[in-house]
Amino acid sequence: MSVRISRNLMIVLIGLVFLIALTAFSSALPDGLEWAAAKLGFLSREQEMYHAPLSDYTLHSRLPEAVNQILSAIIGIVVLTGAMVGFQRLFRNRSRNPHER
Amino acid sequence: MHIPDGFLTTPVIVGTYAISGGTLWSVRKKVGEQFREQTTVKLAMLAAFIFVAQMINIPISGGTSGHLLGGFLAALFVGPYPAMFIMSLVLTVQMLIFQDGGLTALGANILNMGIVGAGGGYLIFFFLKKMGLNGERSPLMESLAVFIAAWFSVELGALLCGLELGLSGLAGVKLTVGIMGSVHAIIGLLEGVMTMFIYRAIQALRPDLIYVNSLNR
Repeated sequence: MSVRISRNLMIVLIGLVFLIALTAFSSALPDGLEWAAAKLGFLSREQEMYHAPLSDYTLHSRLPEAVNQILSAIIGIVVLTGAMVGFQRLFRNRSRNPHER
Repeated sequence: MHIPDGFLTTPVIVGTYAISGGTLWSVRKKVGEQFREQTTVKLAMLAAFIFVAQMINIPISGGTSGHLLGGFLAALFVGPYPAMFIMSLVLTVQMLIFQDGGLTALGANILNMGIVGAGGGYLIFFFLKKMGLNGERSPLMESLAVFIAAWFSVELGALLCGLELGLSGLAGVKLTVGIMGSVHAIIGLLEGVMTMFIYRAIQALRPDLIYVNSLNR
């Protein structure tokens, strides 16, 4: 599979890099659900039943938050890209019609 | 709007997992069709974009912040069923790797932001199109339809989220639905504006990438 990098794809990639940089400036204010939970007094009901490896988008607590955010964004993109490629292959292999490949 | 562990009771957890799992299972063939047709680059970019956009929290009045959810946006690009699937993948990765949303709440989060976010927004968009807000009349009318549908995609998910919280006995159903609905009525405006601008930009640059364009022919 050859990937031809067109001008438009270049624009999208540059846009993605720009967005990754923007994650460093993400607001730490509560989101709508957290705000509502605090307002109605059930925020403390939250409990951990599973511990994720990069909990709260943090690779290492000693790294600056901005760096953690950017690295998390990159890791997420890599994982999801892999997942999309994998699922597409899976769906294509299951296809009964070989012309669709 | 990612529900963490500890908020939902067992019946709500089981119910939301069943509805989400059942819906995704029943649309698997349609998802497969689209996944075979679409280019890998487009699918990967869409998932990457939604993931990163969800990391960018923008301050909103009243001490809250919001971010793009992207379910309806994805539906505009690949159709509602693949959009539900892509949103489910994004939510699963967020939960498994970054603890964004709980393991027990994944079914509810997929239902609120994936299935209702993508499918609900898409239904509203089609309803508005039938009502005359479509691109054949003017791009402005179509943009308005995109804005309204994107707003509803967040609002409907938020109301459903409020219902799940209320049914779990965290507070009265009226209270949880009311507060989730009202705070997301404002956060939803962000979804509307962002979805509309992205849609218009791609419509100008690469209209062939937009799924809903292929339906008019």
